[in-house]
Order: sequence, then C-alpha cells, then structure tokens
Amino acid sequence: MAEPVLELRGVSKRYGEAVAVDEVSLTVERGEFLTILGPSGCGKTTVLRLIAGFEQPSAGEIVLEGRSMAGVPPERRAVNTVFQSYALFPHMNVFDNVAFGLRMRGFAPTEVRRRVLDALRLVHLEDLATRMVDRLSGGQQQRVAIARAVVNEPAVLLLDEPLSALDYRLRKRMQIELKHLQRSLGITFVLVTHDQEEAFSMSDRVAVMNQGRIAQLDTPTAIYETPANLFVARFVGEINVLPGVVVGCVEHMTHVEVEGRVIPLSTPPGCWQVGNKVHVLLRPEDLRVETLRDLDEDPELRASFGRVPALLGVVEETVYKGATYDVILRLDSGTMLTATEFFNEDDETVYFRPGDRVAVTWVQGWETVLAYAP
Amino acid sequence: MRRDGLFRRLVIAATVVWMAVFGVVPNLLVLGASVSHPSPTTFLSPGFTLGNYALLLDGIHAQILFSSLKLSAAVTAICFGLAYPFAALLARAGRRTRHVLLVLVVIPFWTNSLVRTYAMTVLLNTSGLVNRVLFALGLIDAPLTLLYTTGAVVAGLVYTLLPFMILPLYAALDRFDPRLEEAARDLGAGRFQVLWYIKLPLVLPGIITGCMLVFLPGLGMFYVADVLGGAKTMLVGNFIRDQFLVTRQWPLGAAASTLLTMIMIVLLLIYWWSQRRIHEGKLDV
Repeated sequence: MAEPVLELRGVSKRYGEAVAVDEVSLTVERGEFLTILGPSGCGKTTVLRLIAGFEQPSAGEIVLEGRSMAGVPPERRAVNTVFQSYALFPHMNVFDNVAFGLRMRGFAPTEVRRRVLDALRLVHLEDLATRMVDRLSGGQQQRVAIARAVVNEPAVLLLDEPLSALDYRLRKRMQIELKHLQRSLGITFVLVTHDQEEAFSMSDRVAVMNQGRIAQLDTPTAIYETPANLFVARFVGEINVLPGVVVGCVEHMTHVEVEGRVIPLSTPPGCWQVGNKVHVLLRPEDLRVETLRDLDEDPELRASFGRVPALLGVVEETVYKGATYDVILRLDSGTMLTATEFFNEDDETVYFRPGDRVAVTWVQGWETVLAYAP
Repeated sequence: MRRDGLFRRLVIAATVVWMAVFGVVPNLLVLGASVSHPSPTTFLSPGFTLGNYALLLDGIHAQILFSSLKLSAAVTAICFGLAYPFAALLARAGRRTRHVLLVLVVIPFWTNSLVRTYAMTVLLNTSGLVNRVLFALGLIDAPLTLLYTTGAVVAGLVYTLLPFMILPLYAALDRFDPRLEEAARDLGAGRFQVLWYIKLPLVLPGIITGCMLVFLPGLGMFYVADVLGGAKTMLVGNFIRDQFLVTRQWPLGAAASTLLTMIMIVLLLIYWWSQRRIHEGKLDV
C-alpha cells in the first residue's frame, strides 16, 4: 500500500486538567474522504486544528506526507482549511480571496489569474469574481471558502462543519457537490461534522469520536451495521438495545436469553462463553412486526415469519415519518422498542393501532451483539 | 405615519439649522477673515488677499507651525504606542475586565481637562511629586526642571488625549475577527504578512480616527502649552489665540485656523479612502 498522506500517532491535547483529545491515532490514505463524526465537545474540531497547526499536540506526533509536523507553523503545512464561519477576508473581493494563498506563495500574476479562474469555474462562481464577499449569499460564500482552499492544491483539505450554516436543501446539494469535487480533484478530504447523515453520504471512512477518543473508525456501512460499542450504536441513528445472557455456544451459533426467550444468534466462534452478559442491538428498520391476530388467521404469514422465537408486546403509538412510520411498542417485560415500517404499495394507511398485540422478530444475523456495559 | 414623518423632518431641519448657524457660518466667516487685509484699527478690512497665508508660511510663523506639527506628531505617535497594546488587551479581555478597564479610560473625563492640566504642575514642579520620588530613591541629587519644558507639554497632551486614541482603536480591534488571522496563516501568510495584508487594512480606519482625534487637538490645545510650557508659543493653538487676543491680527489668526481645518479635511479624506478600500476592495484581476 502507498504511503499514507496523513498520520496521527497517539496525539493528545490537554488544556490544563481537561483532555480535549486523548491518544488519537489514525491514518488517512491519499485521495480518501475521511469524516470525523461526534457530538459537540468530543474533540473533533481540536483534531482538525492540530492537523492545521493552530494548536500543538501535548503528546504524540502528526506526520504529513512522511514529514513530522512538530513545530511547523500553519503557513508551512501543505493543508488548507474550510472554516465553519468561512472566515473570508471582508476587505477583498472574491478573486482576491481565492488568490490570497497563491500570492502568499509567490506565484506569478498570470499564473495566479489562471488558477483562480479555474478554481472559480469549479465552484460555479466565475461570474462573481469581482464581487465583494459580504454581498454574497451563504451558499456562495461557502463556495468561495472551498475555492480559496482547493486552489492551493493542498495535500489534505480540512473542512470544519462546512455545511452547518446552510439550509437543509442547500446542504444536501453541497454534500453531493463536495463529494464530486473531491473525486474529480483527487484531494484528500478530512471533514468534521456532528451530522451522521452528512458523514455517511460523503465519506469513504468515518471516525466516530467520543470524549476525545476515537470510538470506532470504519466504513459508513460497518459503523451503521456493526457498531463497535453502545456509544457508536446510539450516536449513528436510532437503535434498540436489549440486555441478554449467553446460555449456549456452538460454533457459529450462540444462544442468548433475551426478554425471557432463548434466541439463536449467529456470532463468530469463540466470542462468547456461557454466562456472558450481552447487549443485543437492533436497528428499527431491521425489526419485523406482525399482529397476533394476523398470525393466527394466516398460516402462510406464520410460516414466513421466521425461525427466531418472537418477542411479544403491545403497540403504544405510531409516529408518521412521511415515507415510513415508527411503531413504538412495549414488550411484555416492559422494555420499549421502536420498529420502522414502510407503507405497503396498496395500503397507505398506518396498519398498526395502539393496543394491538404484536410479535416482533428479525432476520437472524442482522443483530449486533456487544458485551454488556452499564 | 403622517405625524411621524413630520416629526422626523422637524428633527432633521433643526439639526441642519444648528449645523449651519454654528458650524458652516462661523467657518465661512473665518475663511473670509483669512483672505481679508489686516487693519490696525478695525481688526480687518474686507478684500481679497493670500498675503496672510504667505505670511503664515514665512520665517518665524512657519517655524512655529512646523514645530507644532512636529510636537503633535510626536504626541500622536506616543499615544498610538501606548494605546495600541492597551486597546488590544481590552479587545481580548473578558467581559468584566473589559468593563472595568473601559471605565478607567473614561474616568478622567469626569474632571475638567484644564483642572487636570493644573494638577500636573503639582507633579512636575521642582518640589513636585516626581522630583521628590526620584530624590528619595537617590536617583538625582538636585531637582530636575520638568515644568515649563517641551517634555511637560508633550506629557500633558499625551495624558489628555490618550483616551481619544484608545477608544477608536479598541472599537476597530474589537470588530476584527481573529479567525481571519488563522485563515490567512492557513493560506500560507507569515506573521508579518497577516499583519500587513489582513489586520492592518481592517483596523486602519480605527487607527486613522484615533490619529485624527489626537493630532488635531495636539495642534490646538493652547491651554496645555500655557500651563505646562510657560510663556513660549508652542502650538498653532497658542499662535491663533495670540493673533486674535494679543496682537490683534485677525486675518493671520484666521489663516492659521483655516490651515488647521484643511489638515483635518486631508485626514478625513485619508479616512474615507481607507474605509472605501475595505468596502469596495481593489479590483486586481
């Protein structure tokens, strides 16, 4: 494998007693789109500022293109940042803002002009080159900020919540544009966000951060489907967490007692021993819910309902979501579950009614089993 | 709505009349006087001559003018040197500290500046506080002559005018977004380049305002020179006062006064230019 463009080795940042970043190690490949995802205050922006050089790590090392960045000031690092607030220079027009980095590096005026106009074309702002930046819309300012950074052809482009100030529709569009831009330029992107949808839709890999540490670093699919811990599971989307106890292990099959029922789960061999306390994690859209009435009346449905012994409960309420609806149900043990149901093609009404007795099951293997943590 | 419009027009009209009667008309009178012929009996006789201006730029008058400009420039420079670090500190301080410091800047305004200038004589005279402290510390054997020197006038002007430099500088630095410095450094600008291309252009209007508010009074505050500088004519302000009240050469005094107004106009033009640079930018495609 080629040399990684950026590497963090055990990087920590402490402010007095407070630890903002705690021994973060990660490797970013050339051309990769990596997103650091986490709640506010998890240290994700500090990681970005450490890479940019605005902060110096208290411990550990940052290596950019094979060179240690210890003591290297921001102006001499081959990274550029798109700031959350854009931080455009208010006393310059669009062209001068974008040209700033090139001019600081001493490019000839004709070369500056060529590159700036190329960059502006890239973000569809070529007609606004002479406009002052305070007379641009939020989306246009965002594009200037991106052009101002990419025009320098950085080894890594850092983006600090770049889309958070835009409205929903524009944010969606910019997500796609950013992704396309990243692909066509081949520049490595490291993006920071608290929005999991944004992280998933754009990134090759996502690092979920919590309390200064990386909780999980993997592809969006892996993070969503097989979260490494409860924090990640709960932070990326909704999830149902059921406590259980392992009652039997045979090769790939583990029997777990959940909600008073013994359910066979497929897990890697050697993972669990009898007596282990576990959490069984289920995404709402992975749950299958049928009313007991339907199951009684329709043997075919009962047959297709699956091998897993079903959990029984009662519907508390339904929540309309547009394309889907959530069924909030209470199991007989008192545990609450959320299941997401799609509307049938031929039936656009919510099928379940509060008070319906229901059975809940799922396709074996779609669950995630984690060691019990209080 | 109708009454509202009427009220607004009344207020505007009152302001315009006030400015015309007490601003424009006196200035025009001074301008008129400055091109009149001097007259020993009637203060001035009407006519048109540029002789007063020629006289102003000649020999001893030019010397007074020049040394006053020099002195005021020094006062402005000292004020800037003292005010900038303080204003920067103020802009960066927390809310509470900031309020306390701002009150400290404003407190001197509660006392008339003439009284404060007299108070300085108590500090500076041969048996004054400064000399006694220096003597007690064994730094001097004989009292220094501090009062009635150029240094005393400079100190008095700096003391009186410092707040007028601090406040506009503070306003400009407070408005300045420090993230712009980070953005510039991120784009490859060194510390000096950040200062030159980003911070200075954005803070410049505040600097010019401060310099204007210090430099012009620094030419004109004749009572500071009178109290602390002795009988010497040090400032253009003393010169103008003397022309009107002592030697009775009104046209020459009016010419000197007009000259001050012209200096102010030049400074205002520079200010306007620096503002325009921020809001329209330069086209460099």
